[in-house]
Amino acid sequence: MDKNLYKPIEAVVEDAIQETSNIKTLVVKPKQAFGFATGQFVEITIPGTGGAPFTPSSNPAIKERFDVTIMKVGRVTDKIHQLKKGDTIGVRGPYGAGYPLHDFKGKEVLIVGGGVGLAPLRSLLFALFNEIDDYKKVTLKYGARSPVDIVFKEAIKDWQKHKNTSIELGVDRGDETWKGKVGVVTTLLDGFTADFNNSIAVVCGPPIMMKFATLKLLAIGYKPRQIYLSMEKNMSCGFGKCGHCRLGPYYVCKDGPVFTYDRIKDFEEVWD
Amino acid sequence: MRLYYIERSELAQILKELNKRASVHAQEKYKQDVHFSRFDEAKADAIIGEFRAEEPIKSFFTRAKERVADYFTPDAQGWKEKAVIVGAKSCDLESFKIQDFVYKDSQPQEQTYIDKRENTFIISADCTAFKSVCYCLYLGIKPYPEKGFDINLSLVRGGFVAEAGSEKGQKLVNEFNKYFREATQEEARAREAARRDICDRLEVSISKMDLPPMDSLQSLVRKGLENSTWQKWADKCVECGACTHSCPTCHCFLLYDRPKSGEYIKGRVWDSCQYYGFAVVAGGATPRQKLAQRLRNRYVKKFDFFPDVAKTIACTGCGRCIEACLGKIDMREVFKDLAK
Repeated sequence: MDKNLYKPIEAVVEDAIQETSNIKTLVVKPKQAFGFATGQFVEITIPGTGGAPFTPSSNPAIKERFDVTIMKVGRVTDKIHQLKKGDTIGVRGPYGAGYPLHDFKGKEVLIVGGGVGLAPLRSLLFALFNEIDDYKKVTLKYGARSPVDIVFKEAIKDWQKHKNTSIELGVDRGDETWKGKVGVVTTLLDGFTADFNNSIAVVCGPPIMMKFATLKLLAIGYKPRQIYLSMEKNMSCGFGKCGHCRLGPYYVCKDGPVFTYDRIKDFEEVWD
Repeated sequence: MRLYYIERSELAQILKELNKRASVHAQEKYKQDVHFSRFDEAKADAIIGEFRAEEPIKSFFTRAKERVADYFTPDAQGWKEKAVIVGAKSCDLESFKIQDFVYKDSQPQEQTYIDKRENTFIISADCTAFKSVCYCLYLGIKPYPEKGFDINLSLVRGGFVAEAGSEKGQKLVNEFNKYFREATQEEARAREAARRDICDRLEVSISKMDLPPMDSLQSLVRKGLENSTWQKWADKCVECGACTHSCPTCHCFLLYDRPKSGEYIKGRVWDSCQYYGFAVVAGGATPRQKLAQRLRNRYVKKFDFFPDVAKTIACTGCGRCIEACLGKIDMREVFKDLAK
């Protein structure tokens, strides 16, 4: 018999790292082989409680374990934040189509992230760094609410060291320590320019940020098909059966979660 | 096409025999309605004609609530139970076009569904009557099955003209050839006459409904919330989910986890896009805040999404959602309002 689609794989929490006051990274080691492509997502389940979809934040080249970086926002994520080293959880997946790296090769890659949206983008950055010579340029523009809400703050400093890579951070509200830009993430794109004939942009963050970042990218010269969005919808199964994540003619879980803007721009509920 | 004839008492003998090999679900009349229930030898007089049952046939293949996996322990291998469904109607069979598309024909396939479909023997029947909510013909679906059954029965002169629609069906006919005799030409003609008659009567009933052209449905449901139709009908909705649960093509479900006697199980329940929580994401946001949006979503899924992805509408005209609705929301009236 084929494998049961609904059956979670047993996995162990190897570490739980507090990133910010409400964001944690779990290091998860599944007991069975479990590779993923960057941008794909997994269903993390807490036995007896429930599950939710998350996109791994770790390097897809690492096969034996993966990280998920999770903000505490509700019933399931509250439980996830209580997990400790050594706890057992279930994982299903990976699901969906990730970032099409072959389409990014040879191009200038702009990555725009907001808040905990940097989690999946960290995985993407690692994937780009793995073969950095294949990309003309990698730029990260990342915005958080305030300096204490910046995830991977220390690691970001190391990312800057990769060649062809530039990173700029901004916050909505600064504090006395903050010397960078202040303003919503789109202000980081003011004056940004690229070789628009040979560029792509990737956006991940809260829906409102994705919307305004997309409009901004269009305004500065990107075409809809050059903008890759990680869509968030309610998902239950993860493989196009349960019906929750429908967006126009697509199921976000199966046909996405990464879509170029031209594929979805005419459908209702894109930004809601 | 070879047609057979079988007497009602002989059919009862076959059902008794099948009941030893599988769980047989036949139809029974209760007040004005027909229901599926376990075949009872004592009665042995299942309703074969009449109209479709209240229960959608999907409930045999994906239960309203069921366990789908255990945690970290090996599952039982495959679904082995055998079942026979007696008296399924054309609209029931028609609903497989959606359920099969979701669970069998789209990747990844769900093995339990496939096992259940293979292990279920379907004895369908022509409708001999219809309900006031029936409008299958409007959607191009005939009130008698033409495919998708193992054996079909057409009520003719107190007995049945039988047709085998699959290898399994033909095997059963062969096994019980002491009961199935070849139908006479006269019996075959009587079947055609009965079919014409039910179509004619249903046609009259549907023509009184004054529905917009069927091929306009996709463009009608695309009309947005600025069209007052959605709010008008949403005002009557109490979000009970009866429409989606009784619908033979609605397939949405929700996975849940719970502890069970020291172990953990993963289960699923039928879900409904009419519920507020259906599209809620982490943090509480939802793209369908308004009930009118959720009401419309059901129509869009059926008459816009499925035509796009599966080349078929997800409605069989069975009228169950109309009957089940506490707020008396009538899909046909919604179409008419949209067409105004």
